[in-house]
Amino acid sequence: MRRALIITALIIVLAALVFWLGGSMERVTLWAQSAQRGFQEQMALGLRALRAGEPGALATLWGLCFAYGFVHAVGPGHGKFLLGAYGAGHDVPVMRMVGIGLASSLAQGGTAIALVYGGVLVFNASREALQLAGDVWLERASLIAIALIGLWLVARAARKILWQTMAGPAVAPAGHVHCDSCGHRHGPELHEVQALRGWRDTALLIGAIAIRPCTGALFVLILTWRMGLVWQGILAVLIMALGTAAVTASVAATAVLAREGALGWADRLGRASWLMPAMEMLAGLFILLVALNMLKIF
Amino acid sequence: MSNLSICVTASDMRRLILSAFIASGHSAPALAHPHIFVDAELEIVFDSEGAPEGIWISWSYDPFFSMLLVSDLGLDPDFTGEITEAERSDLDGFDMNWIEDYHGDTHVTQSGTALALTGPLEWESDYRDGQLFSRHLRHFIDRPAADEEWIVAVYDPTYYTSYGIIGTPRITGRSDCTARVFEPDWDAAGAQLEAALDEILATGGDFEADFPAVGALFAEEVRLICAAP
Repeated sequence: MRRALIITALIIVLAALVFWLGGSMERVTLWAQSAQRGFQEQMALGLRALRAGEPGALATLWGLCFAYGFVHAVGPGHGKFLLGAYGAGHDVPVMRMVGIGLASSLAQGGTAIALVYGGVLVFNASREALQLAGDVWLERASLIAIALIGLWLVARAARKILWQTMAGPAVAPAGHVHCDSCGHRHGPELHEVQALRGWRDTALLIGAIAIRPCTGALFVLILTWRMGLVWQGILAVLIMALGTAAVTASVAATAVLAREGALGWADRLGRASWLMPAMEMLAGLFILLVALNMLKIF
Repeated sequence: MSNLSICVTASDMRRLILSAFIASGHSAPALAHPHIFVDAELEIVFDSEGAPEGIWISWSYDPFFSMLLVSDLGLDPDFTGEITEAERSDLDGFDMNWIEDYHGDTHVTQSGTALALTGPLEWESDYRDGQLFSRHLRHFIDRPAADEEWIVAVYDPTYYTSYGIIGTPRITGRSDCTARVFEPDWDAAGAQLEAALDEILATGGDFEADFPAVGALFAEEVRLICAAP
Protein backbone atom coordinates (compact mmCIF):
# COMPACT_ATOMS: atom_id res chain seq x y z
CA MET A 1 0.00 0.00 0.00
CA ARG A 2 2.67 2.45 1.10
CA ARG A 3 4.93 1.36 -1.72
CA ALA A 4 2.12 2.02 -4.21
CA LEU A 5 1.56 5.45 -2.67
CA ILE A 6 5.24 6.28 -2.90
CA ILE A 7 5.41 5.26 -6.55
CA THR A 8 2.27 7.30 -7.28
CA ALA A 9 3.80 10.31 -5.52
CA LEU A 10 6.99 10.03 -7.57
CA ILE A 11 4.94 9.87 -10.77
CA ILE A 12 2.91 12.93 -9.72
CA VAL A 13 6.05 14.92 -8.96
CA LEU A 14 7.62 13.95 -12.29
CA ALA A 15 4.42 14.78 -14.16
CA ALA A 16 4.21 18.15 -12.39
CA LEU A 17 7.81 18.86 -13.35
CA VAL A 18 7.22 18.00 -17.01
CA PHE A 19 4.05 20.08 -16.95
CA TRP A 20 5.87 23.03 -15.44
CA LEU A 21 8.89 22.82 -17.74
CA GLY A 22 6.55 22.49 -20.71
CA GLY A 23 5.17 25.95 -19.89
CA SER A 24 1.69 24.74 -19.07
CA MET A 25 1.51 26.55 -15.74
CA GLU A 26 -0.03 29.57 -17.45
CA ARG A 27 -2.92 27.37 -18.52
CA VAL A 28 -3.53 26.20 -14.96
CA THR A 29 -3.35 29.78 -13.74
CA LEU A 30 -5.73 30.84 -16.48
CA TRP A 31 -8.11 28.03 -15.64
CA ALA A 32 -8.03 28.89 -11.94
CA GLN A 33 -8.69 32.51 -12.84
CA SER A 34 -11.67 31.86 -15.08
CA ALA A 35 -13.03 29.55 -12.38
CA GLN A 36 -12.61 32.37 -9.86
CA ARG A 37 -14.53 34.68 -12.15
CA GLY A 38 -17.40 32.19 -12.16
CA PHE A 39 -17.23 31.94 -8.39
CA GLN A 40 -17.51 35.72 -7.95
CA GLU A 41 -21.00 35.45 -9.43
CA GLN A 42 -22.00 32.34 -7.47
CA MET A 43 -20.76 33.87 -4.21
CA ALA A 44 -22.87 36.98 -4.71
CA LEU A 45 -25.95 34.87 -5.49
CA GLY A 46 -25.28 32.58 -2.53
CA LEU A 47 -24.91 35.48 -0.10
CA ARG A 48 -28.02 37.18 -1.44
CA ALA A 49 -30.04 33.98 -1.08
CA LEU A 50 -28.79 33.55 2.49
CA ARG A 51 -29.67 37.13 3.36
CA ALA A 52 -33.14 36.61 1.89
CA GLY A 53 -33.55 33.53 4.10
CA GLU A 54 -34.04 31.07 1.24
CA PRO A 55 -34.12 27.43 2.35
CA GLY A 56 -30.89 25.56 1.77
CA ALA A 57 -28.98 28.78 1.16
CA LEU A 58 -26.52 28.21 4.01
CA ALA A 59 -25.52 24.75 2.79
CA THR A 60 -25.14 26.10 -0.74
CA LEU A 61 -22.93 28.95 0.42
CA TRP A 62 -20.74 26.67 2.51
CA GLY A 63 -20.37 24.26 -0.41
CA LEU A 64 -19.40 27.16 -2.64
CA CYS A 65 -16.85 28.34 -0.11
CA PHE A 66 -15.21 24.92 0.01
CA ALA A 67 -14.94 24.85 -3.78
CA TYR A 68 -13.69 28.46 -3.82
CA GLY A 69 -10.94 27.61 -1.33
CA PHE A 70 -9.95 24.55 -3.32
CA VAL A 71 -9.78 26.30 -6.69
CA HIS A 72 -7.99 29.27 -5.19
CA ALA A 73 -5.31 26.99 -3.78
CA VAL A 74 -4.73 25.43 -7.21
CA GLY A 75 -3.49 28.81 -8.47
CA PRO A 76 -0.03 30.06 -7.61
CA GLY A 77 0.56 30.70 -3.92
CA HIS A 78 3.33 30.56 -1.41
CA GLY A 79 1.79 28.14 1.08
CA LYS A 80 2.10 25.20 -1.28
CA PHE A 81 5.66 25.78 -2.34
CA LEU A 82 6.77 26.20 1.27
CA LEU A 83 5.12 22.98 2.46
CA GLY A 84 6.05 21.11 -0.71
CA ALA A 85 9.71 22.06 -0.45
CA TYR A 86 9.89 21.43 3.28
CA GLY A 87 8.23 18.02 2.89
CA ALA A 88 10.57 17.10 0.05
CA GLY A 89 13.65 18.07 2.01
CA HIS A 90 13.00 16.81 5.52
CA ASP A 91 12.52 13.62 7.43
CA VAL A 92 8.93 14.29 8.40
CA PRO A 93 6.08 11.82 8.84
CA VAL A 94 3.43 12.12 6.13
CA MET A 95 0.62 12.58 8.62
CA ARG A 96 2.40 15.46 10.30
CA MET A 97 2.75 17.25 6.94
CA VAL A 98 -0.94 16.64 6.26
CA GLY A 99 -1.66 18.08 9.71
CA ILE A 100 0.52 21.11 8.99
CA GLY A 101 -1.32 21.66 5.69
CA LEU A 102 -4.66 21.52 7.45
CA ALA A 103 -3.60 23.64 10.42
CA SER A 104 -1.94 26.34 8.31
CA SER A 105 -5.02 26.74 6.11
CA LEU A 106 -7.33 26.91 9.12
CA ALA A 107 -5.01 29.38 10.84
CA GLN A 108 -5.04 31.47 7.66
CA GLY A 109 -8.84 31.56 7.88
CA GLY A 110 -8.43 32.52 11.53
CA THR A 111 -6.23 35.46 10.54
CA ALA A 112 -8.93 36.73 8.17
CA ILE A 113 -11.52 36.46 10.94
CA ALA A 114 -9.24 38.21 13.45
CA LEU A 115 -8.36 40.93 10.94
CA VAL A 116 -11.96 41.71 10.03
CA TYR A 117 -13.53 41.47 13.47
CA GLY A 118 -10.51 42.87 15.30
CA GLY A 119 -10.14 45.64 12.72
CA VAL A 120 -13.79 46.58 12.74
CA LEU A 121 -14.56 46.23 16.42
CA VAL A 122 -11.29 47.49 17.89
CA PHE A 123 -9.93 49.92 15.33
CA ASN A 124 -13.14 50.90 13.58
CA ALA A 125 -11.33 50.25 10.31
CA SER A 126 -12.74 50.84 6.86
CA ARG A 127 -12.92 48.15 4.22
CA GLU A 128 -10.06 49.66 2.20
CA ALA A 129 -7.87 49.71 5.27
CA LEU A 130 -8.60 46.05 5.98
CA GLN A 131 -7.92 45.08 2.42
CA LEU A 132 -4.75 47.11 2.24
CA ALA A 133 -3.55 45.40 5.40
CA GLY A 134 -4.26 41.97 3.96
CA ASP A 135 -3.24 42.46 0.34
CA VAL A 136 -0.10 44.44 0.93
CA TRP A 137 1.35 44.43 4.43
CA LEU A 138 0.48 40.95 5.63
CA GLU A 139 1.34 39.48 2.25
CA ARG A 140 4.78 41.01 2.52
CA ALA A 141 5.17 39.93 6.15
CA SER A 142 4.32 36.38 5.18
CA LEU A 143 6.88 36.35 2.36
CA ILE A 144 9.57 37.74 4.67
CA ALA A 145 8.79 35.04 7.24
CA ILE A 146 9.01 32.37 4.54
CA ALA A 147 12.32 33.74 3.25
CA LEU A 148 13.70 33.63 6.81
CA ILE A 149 12.59 30.02 7.19
CA GLY A 150 14.40 29.22 3.93
CA LEU A 151 17.55 30.93 5.16
CA TRP A 152 17.36 29.10 8.47
CA LEU A 153 16.89 25.72 6.76
CA VAL A 154 19.92 26.38 4.55
CA ALA A 155 22.04 27.29 7.58
CA ARG A 156 20.90 24.19 9.45
CA ALA A 157 21.66 21.90 6.51
CA ALA A 158 25.05 23.54 6.02
CA ARG A 159 25.94 22.92 9.65
CA LYS A 160 24.89 19.30 9.31
CA ILE A 161 27.03 18.82 6.21
CA LEU A 162 29.95 20.45 7.99
CA TRP A 163 29.61 18.11 10.97
CA GLN A 164 29.33 15.14 8.71
CA THR A 165 32.47 16.12 6.84
CA MET A 166 34.46 16.64 10.02
CA ALA A 167 33.21 13.59 11.91
CA GLY A 168 33.36 11.24 8.96
CA PRO A 169 30.40 9.44 7.48
CA ALA A 170 30.40 6.58 10.01
CA VAL A 171 29.21 8.59 13.00
CA ALA A 172 27.35 11.40 11.44
CA PRO A 173 24.16 10.14 9.83
CA ALA A 174 21.64 11.63 12.16
CA GLY A 175 19.50 8.53 12.12
CA HIS A 176 17.95 6.85 15.11
CA VAL A 177 21.00 6.13 17.23
CA HIS A 178 19.78 5.11 20.65
CA CYS A 179 22.01 4.97 23.66
CA ASP A 180 20.30 2.08 25.39
CA SER A 181 23.18 1.06 27.62
CA CYS A 182 23.90 4.41 29.20
CA GLY A 183 21.42 4.12 32.04
CA HIS A 184 21.47 7.79 32.88
CA ARG A 185 20.82 10.91 30.88
CA HIS A 186 23.61 13.17 29.70
CA GLY A 187 21.17 15.57 28.17
CA PRO A 188 18.36 15.43 25.70
CA GLU A 189 18.34 12.26 23.63
CA LEU A 190 18.68 12.58 19.91
CA HIS A 191 15.05 11.69 19.25
CA GLU A 192 13.98 14.28 21.80
CA VAL A 193 16.02 16.91 20.01
CA GLN A 194 14.44 15.86 16.74
CA ALA A 195 10.97 15.95 18.24
CA LEU A 196 11.60 19.44 19.58
CA ARG A 197 12.94 20.55 16.23
CA GLY A 198 9.88 19.00 14.63
CA TRP A 199 7.47 20.99 16.76
CA ARG A 200 9.38 24.21 16.31
CA ASP A 201 9.42 23.72 12.54
CA THR A 202 5.71 22.90 12.61
CA ALA A 203 4.90 26.12 14.44
CA LEU A 204 7.09 28.18 12.10
CA LEU A 205 5.56 26.70 8.95
CA ILE A 206 2.01 27.22 10.15
CA GLY A 207 2.77 30.73 11.37
CA ALA A 208 4.44 31.90 8.16
CA ILE A 209 1.50 30.76 6.04
CA ALA A 210 -1.18 31.95 8.45
CA ILE A 211 0.01 35.58 8.46
CA ARG A 212 -1.55 36.38 5.12
CA PRO A 213 -5.36 36.09 4.84
CA CYS A 214 -7.09 35.40 1.53
CA THR A 215 -8.84 38.38 -0.05
CA GLY A 216 -11.90 36.30 -0.91
CA ALA A 217 -12.27 35.38 2.77
CA LEU A 218 -12.08 39.06 3.74
CA PHE A 219 -14.85 39.88 1.25
CA VAL A 220 -17.09 37.12 2.61
CA LEU A 221 -16.50 38.19 6.23
CA ILE A 222 -17.14 41.87 5.57
CA LEU A 223 -20.35 41.16 3.64
CA THR A 224 -21.74 38.63 6.11
CA TRP A 225 -20.96 40.99 8.97
CA ARG A 226 -22.88 43.79 7.27
CA MET A 227 -25.72 41.35 6.61
CA GLY A 228 -25.83 40.47 10.29
CA LEU A 229 -24.87 36.85 9.52
CA VAL A 230 -21.81 36.65 11.74
CA TRP A 231 -21.47 32.96 12.64
CA GLN A 232 -22.56 31.86 9.18
CA GLY A 233 -19.77 33.97 7.70
CA ILE A 234 -17.13 32.78 10.15
CA LEU A 235 -18.01 29.14 9.47
CA ALA A 236 -18.04 29.86 5.72
CA VAL A 237 -14.45 31.10 5.95
CA LEU A 238 -13.34 28.08 7.98
CA ILE A 239 -14.94 25.81 5.37
CA MET A 240 -13.14 27.80 2.66
CA ALA A 241 -9.93 27.07 4.59
CA LEU A 242 -10.73 23.35 4.51
CA GLY A 243 -11.02 23.59 0.72
CA THR A 244 -7.59 25.20 0.60
CA ALA A 245 -6.25 22.59 3.02
CA ALA A 246 -7.32 19.80 0.68
CA VAL A 247 -4.80 21.13 -1.85
CA THR A 248 -1.94 22.16 0.46
CA ALA A 249 -2.12 18.91 2.45
CA SER A 250 -2.03 16.86 -0.78
CA VAL A 251 0.98 18.79 -2.05
CA ALA A 252 2.77 18.34 1.28
CA ALA A 253 1.98 14.62 1.50
CA THR A 254 3.01 14.03 -2.11
CA ALA A 255 6.33 15.75 -1.45
CA VAL A 256 7.07 13.58 1.60
CA LEU A 257 6.19 10.35 -0.19
CA ALA A 258 8.28 11.30 -3.20
CA ARG A 259 11.22 12.07 -0.94
CA GLU A 260 10.85 8.71 0.79
CA GLY A 261 10.83 7.02 -2.61
CA ALA A 262 13.94 8.86 -3.77
CA LEU A 263 15.67 8.18 -0.47
CA GLY A 264 14.86 4.47 -0.49
CA TRP A 265 16.44 4.31 -3.90
CA ALA A 266 19.52 6.22 -2.78
CA ASP A 267 19.79 3.96 0.26
CA ARG A 268 20.29 1.00 -2.00
CA LEU A 269 23.07 2.88 -3.71
CA GLY A 270 24.56 3.69 -0.30
CA ARG A 271 24.29 7.45 -0.72
CA ALA A 272 21.48 8.18 1.71
CA SER A 273 23.59 9.82 4.42
CA TRP A 274 24.73 12.45 1.98
CA LEU A 275 21.46 12.84 0.22
CA MET A 276 19.51 13.86 3.32
CA PRO A 277 21.32 17.08 4.23
CA ALA A 278 21.78 17.87 0.54
CA MET A 279 18.02 17.68 0.04
CA GLU A 280 17.41 19.83 3.11
CA MET A 281 19.85 22.35 1.71
CA LEU A 282 18.11 22.37 -1.67
CA ALA A 283 14.68 22.70 -0.06
CA GLY A 284 15.86 25.66 2.03
CA LEU A 285 17.48 27.33 -0.98
CA PHE A 286 14.36 26.84 -3.05
CA ILE A 287 12.11 28.33 -0.35
CA LEU A 288 14.48 31.27 0.12
CA LEU A 289 14.79 32.04 -3.58
CA VAL A 290 11.09 31.77 -4.40
CA ALA A 291 10.13 33.96 -1.43
CA LEU A 292 12.78 36.56 -2.29
CA ASN A 293 11.70 36.56 -5.90
CA MET A 294 8.06 37.10 -4.96
CA LEU A 295 9.05 39.82 -2.51
CA LYS A 296 11.12 41.60 -5.12
CA ILE A 297 8.39 41.82 -7.68
CA PHE A 298 5.63 42.17 -5.17
CA MET B 1 -25.69 50.67 9.26
CA SER B 2 -22.05 49.86 9.65
CA ASN B 3 -18.71 51.38 10.42
CA LEU B 4 -17.46 49.96 7.17
CA SER B 5 -19.74 51.83 4.86
CA ILE B 6 -17.31 54.55 4.04
CA CYS B 7 -17.54 55.60 0.44
CA VAL B 8 -14.88 54.14 -1.74
CA THR B 9 -14.70 53.66 -5.44
CA ALA B 10 -12.95 50.95 -7.34
CA SER B 11 -10.40 53.42 -8.62
CA ASP B 12 -9.85 54.80 -5.13
CA MET B 13 -9.12 51.36 -3.88
CA ARG B 14 -6.75 50.57 -6.69
CA ARG B 15 -5.00 53.82 -5.97
CA LEU B 16 -4.72 52.92 -2.30
CA ILE B 17 -3.19 49.57 -3.07
CA LEU B 18 -0.98 51.10 -5.72
CA SER B 19 0.21 53.99 -3.58
CA ALA B 20 1.28 51.55 -0.91
CA PHE B 21 3.60 49.97 -3.45
CA ILE B 22 4.89 53.27 -4.68
CA ALA B 23 5.40 54.49 -1.13
CA SER B 24 7.55 51.52 -0.31
CA GLY B 25 9.50 51.78 -3.56
CA HIS B 26 8.10 48.64 -5.09
CA SER B 27 6.55 48.12 -8.45
CA ALA B 28 3.16 46.59 -9.08
CA PRO B 29 2.06 43.29 -7.50
CA ALA B 30 2.90 41.35 -10.60
CA LEU B 31 2.09 37.89 -9.38
CA ALA B 32 -0.98 38.93 -7.46
CA HIS B 33 -4.08 37.48 -8.99
CA PRO B 34 -7.00 39.72 -9.86
CA HIS B 35 -9.71 40.37 -7.31
CA ILE B 36 -12.02 42.41 -9.52
CA PHE B 37 -13.36 41.21 -12.86
CA VAL B 38 -14.69 43.75 -15.31
CA ASP B 39 -16.31 43.28 -18.71
CA ALA B 40 -15.47 46.22 -20.96
CA GLU B 41 -17.36 47.41 -24.02
CA LEU B 42 -16.03 50.08 -26.34
CA GLU B 43 -17.61 52.56 -28.70
CA ILE B 44 -15.33 54.56 -30.95
CA VAL B 45 -16.66 58.00 -31.82
CA PHE B 46 -15.66 59.98 -34.91
CA ASP B 47 -16.35 63.69 -35.40
CA SER B 48 -18.21 65.23 -38.34
CA GLU B 49 -14.98 65.42 -40.34
CA GLY B 50 -14.38 61.70 -39.85
CA ALA B 51 -11.46 62.13 -37.43
CA PRO B 52 -11.31 59.95 -34.28
CA GLU B 53 -12.77 62.04 -31.48
CA GLY B 54 -13.09 59.80 -28.43
CA ILE B 55 -14.15 56.53 -26.85
CA TRP B 56 -17.17 55.55 -24.79
CA ILE B 57 -15.97 52.93 -22.32
CA SER B 58 -18.47 50.70 -20.51
CA TRP B 59 -17.53 48.69 -17.48
CA SER B 60 -19.63 46.01 -15.82
CA TYR B 61 -18.27 44.76 -12.52
CA ASP B 62 -18.52 41.16 -11.34
CA PRO B 63 -21.44 40.51 -8.97
CA PHE B 64 -19.29 39.80 -5.88
CA PHE B 65 -17.29 43.00 -6.12
CA SER B 66 -20.47 44.89 -7.13
CA MET B 67 -22.16 43.70 -3.95
CA LEU B 68 -19.19 44.81 -1.86
CA LEU B 69 -18.95 48.25 -3.49
CA VAL B 70 -22.69 48.94 -3.27
CA SER B 71 -22.53 47.93 0.37
CA ASP B 72 -19.49 50.21 0.89
CA LEU B 73 -21.61 53.06 -0.46
CA GLY B 74 -24.35 52.22 2.04
CA LEU B 75 -26.82 51.42 -0.74
CA ASP B 76 -29.17 48.43 -1.09
CA PRO B 77 -29.03 47.66 2.66
CA ASP B 78 -31.23 44.59 2.18
CA PHE B 79 -28.91 43.10 -0.44
CA THR B 80 -31.67 42.61 -2.99
CA GLY B 81 -29.48 43.33 -6.00
CA GLU B 82 -31.61 46.31 -6.99
CA ILE B 83 -31.61 49.94 -5.88
CA THR B 84 -34.32 52.58 -5.62
CA GLU B 85 -34.46 55.66 -7.83
CA ALA B 86 -33.23 57.80 -4.93
CA GLU B 87 -30.28 55.47 -4.40
CA ARG B 88 -29.50 55.59 -8.10
CA SER B 89 -28.62 59.26 -7.83
CA ASP B 90 -26.27 58.48 -4.94
CA LEU B 91 -24.54 55.98 -7.17
CA ASP B 92 -23.83 58.57 -9.87
CA GLY B 93 -20.15 58.70 -10.77
CA PHE B 94 -19.16 56.10 -8.17
CA ASP B 95 -16.06 55.14 -10.16
CA MET B 96 -15.42 58.45 -11.88
CA ASN B 97 -13.64 60.28 -9.12
CA TRP B 98 -10.18 59.64 -10.52
CA ILE B 99 -7.12 60.78 -8.68
CA GLU B 100 -4.09 62.10 -10.45
CA ASP B 101 -2.08 58.92 -10.83
CA TYR B 102 -4.98 56.74 -11.92
CA HIS B 103 -4.64 56.25 -15.62
CA GLY B 104 -8.09 54.86 -16.42
CA ASP B 105 -7.00 51.46 -17.78
CA THR B 106 -7.81 52.29 -21.42
CA HIS B 107 -4.61 52.44 -23.44
CA VAL B 108 -4.47 53.76 -27.00
CA THR B 109 -1.36 53.31 -29.14
CA GLN B 110 -0.40 53.83 -32.76
CA SER B 111 2.84 52.36 -34.14
CA GLY B 112 4.03 51.83 -30.58
CA THR B 113 3.40 55.41 -29.43
CA ALA B 114 0.97 55.95 -26.57
CA LEU B 115 -1.77 58.46 -27.33
CA ALA B 116 -3.17 60.53 -24.48
CA LEU B 117 -6.85 60.66 -23.57
CA THR B 118 -8.74 63.18 -21.48
CA GLY B 119 -10.28 62.15 -18.17
CA PRO B 120 -13.98 61.22 -18.16
CA LEU B 121 -16.09 63.97 -19.74
CA GLU B 122 -19.54 62.39 -19.40
CA TRP B 123 -20.69 59.33 -17.52
CA GLU B 124 -23.59 57.17 -16.42
CA SER B 125 -23.85 54.60 -13.63
CA ASP B 126 -26.33 51.90 -12.73
CA TYR B 127 -26.87 48.88 -10.50
CA ARG B 128 -29.20 46.25 -11.91
CA ASP B 129 -29.68 42.61 -11.15
CA GLY B 130 -26.75 42.60 -8.73
CA GLN B 131 -24.26 44.11 -11.15
CA LEU B 132 -22.68 47.56 -11.19
CA PHE B 133 -22.37 49.28 -14.54
CA SER B 134 -20.73 52.47 -15.58
CA ARG B 135 -20.06 54.13 -18.87
CA HIS B 136 -17.81 57.10 -19.54
CA LEU B 137 -16.62 59.19 -22.49
CA ARG B 138 -13.00 60.18 -22.99
CA HIS B 139 -11.69 62.31 -25.85
CA PHE B 140 -8.38 61.96 -27.60
CA ILE B 141 -5.78 64.54 -26.66
CA ASP B 142 -3.50 63.00 -29.29
CA ARG B 143 -5.65 61.86 -32.19
CA PRO B 144 -4.59 58.75 -34.07
CA ALA B 145 -4.36 58.85 -37.87
CA ALA B 146 -7.53 56.97 -38.74
CA ASP B 147 -6.20 55.31 -41.88
CA GLU B 148 -3.27 53.64 -40.14
CA GLU B 149 -3.84 50.82 -37.68
CA TRP B 150 -4.28 51.92 -34.07
CA ILE B 151 -4.84 49.87 -30.98
CA VAL B 152 -7.15 50.28 -28.02
CA ALA B 153 -6.25 47.95 -25.15
CA VAL B 154 -8.03 47.64 -21.82
CA TYR B 155 -5.97 46.52 -18.85
CA ASP B 156 -4.90 47.33 -15.33
CA PRO B 157 -1.07 47.39 -15.29
CA THR B 158 -1.11 46.13 -11.71
CA TYR B 159 -3.41 43.26 -12.71
CA TYR B 160 -5.56 43.87 -9.66
CA THR B 161 -8.55 44.15 -11.98
CA SER B 162 -8.94 41.68 -14.82
CA TYR B 163 -10.63 43.18 -17.88
CA GLY B 164 -12.22 41.36 -20.78
CA ILE B 165 -13.53 43.06 -23.92
CA ILE B 166 -17.07 42.01 -24.71
CA GLY B 167 -18.25 42.02 -28.31
CA THR B 168 -16.85 44.04 -31.18
CA PRO B 169 -16.66 47.78 -30.56
CA ARG B 170 -19.35 49.95 -32.03
CA ILE B 171 -18.19 52.66 -34.38
CA THR B 172 -20.22 55.82 -34.67
CA GLY B 173 -19.67 58.66 -37.12
CA ARG B 174 -18.04 56.59 -39.86
CA SER B 175 -18.90 53.42 -41.71
CA ASP B 176 -15.64 52.59 -43.47
CA CYS B 177 -13.67 51.38 -40.43
CA THR B 178 -12.97 47.88 -39.20
CA ALA B 179 -12.42 46.85 -35.60
CA ARG B 180 -10.93 43.47 -34.72
CA VAL B 181 -10.72 42.16 -31.17
CA PHE B 182 -7.63 40.15 -30.27
CA GLU B 183 -7.58 37.85 -27.33
CA PRO B 184 -4.33 37.52 -25.48
CA ASP B 185 -2.06 34.65 -26.47
CA TRP B 186 -1.51 33.20 -23.02
CA ASP B 187 1.46 31.01 -23.87
CA ALA B 188 3.18 33.82 -25.72
CA ALA B 189 2.46 36.30 -22.94
CA GLY B 190 3.82 33.91 -20.33
CA ALA B 191 6.94 33.20 -22.38
CA GLN B 192 7.43 36.90 -23.05
CA LEU B 193 7.19 37.72 -19.38
CA GLU B 194 9.71 35.02 -18.52
CA ALA B 195 12.10 36.20 -21.22
CA ALA B 196 11.81 39.79 -20.01
CA LEU B 197 12.56 38.74 -16.45
CA ASP B 198 15.53 36.62 -17.54
CA GLU B 199 16.91 39.55 -19.46
CA ILE B 200 16.65 41.85 -16.45
CA LEU B 201 18.33 39.22 -14.30
CA ALA B 202 21.06 38.53 -16.85
CA THR B 203 21.95 42.18 -17.31
CA GLY B 204 21.91 42.77 -13.57
CA GLY B 205 19.18 45.34 -14.05
CA ASP B 206 16.99 46.68 -11.32
CA PHE B 207 14.11 44.26 -10.95
CA GLU B 208 11.84 46.81 -9.41
CA ALA B 209 12.48 49.64 -11.82
CA ASP B 210 12.55 47.52 -14.95
CA PHE B 211 9.72 45.14 -14.22
CA PRO B 212 7.60 44.78 -17.33
CA ALA B 213 4.00 45.88 -16.93
CA VAL B 214 2.39 42.44 -16.91
CA GLY B 215 -1.10 43.78 -17.45
CA ALA B 216 -0.27 44.74 -21.02
CA LEU B 217 1.00 41.28 -21.90
CA PHE B 218 -2.21 39.65 -20.78
CA ALA B 219 -4.52 42.32 -22.21
CA GLU B 220 -7.19 42.08 -24.82
CA GLU B 221 -6.98 44.66 -27.51
CA VAL B 222 -8.91 46.09 -30.41
CA ARG B 223 -7.13 46.96 -33.66
CA LEU B 224 -8.81 49.66 -35.71
CA ILE B 225 -8.27 50.97 -39.20
CA CYS B 226 -10.37 53.13 -41.49
CA ALA B 227 -10.29 53.58 -45.25
CA ALA B 228 -7.86 56.21 -46.54
CA PRO B 229 -9.59 59.37 -47.73
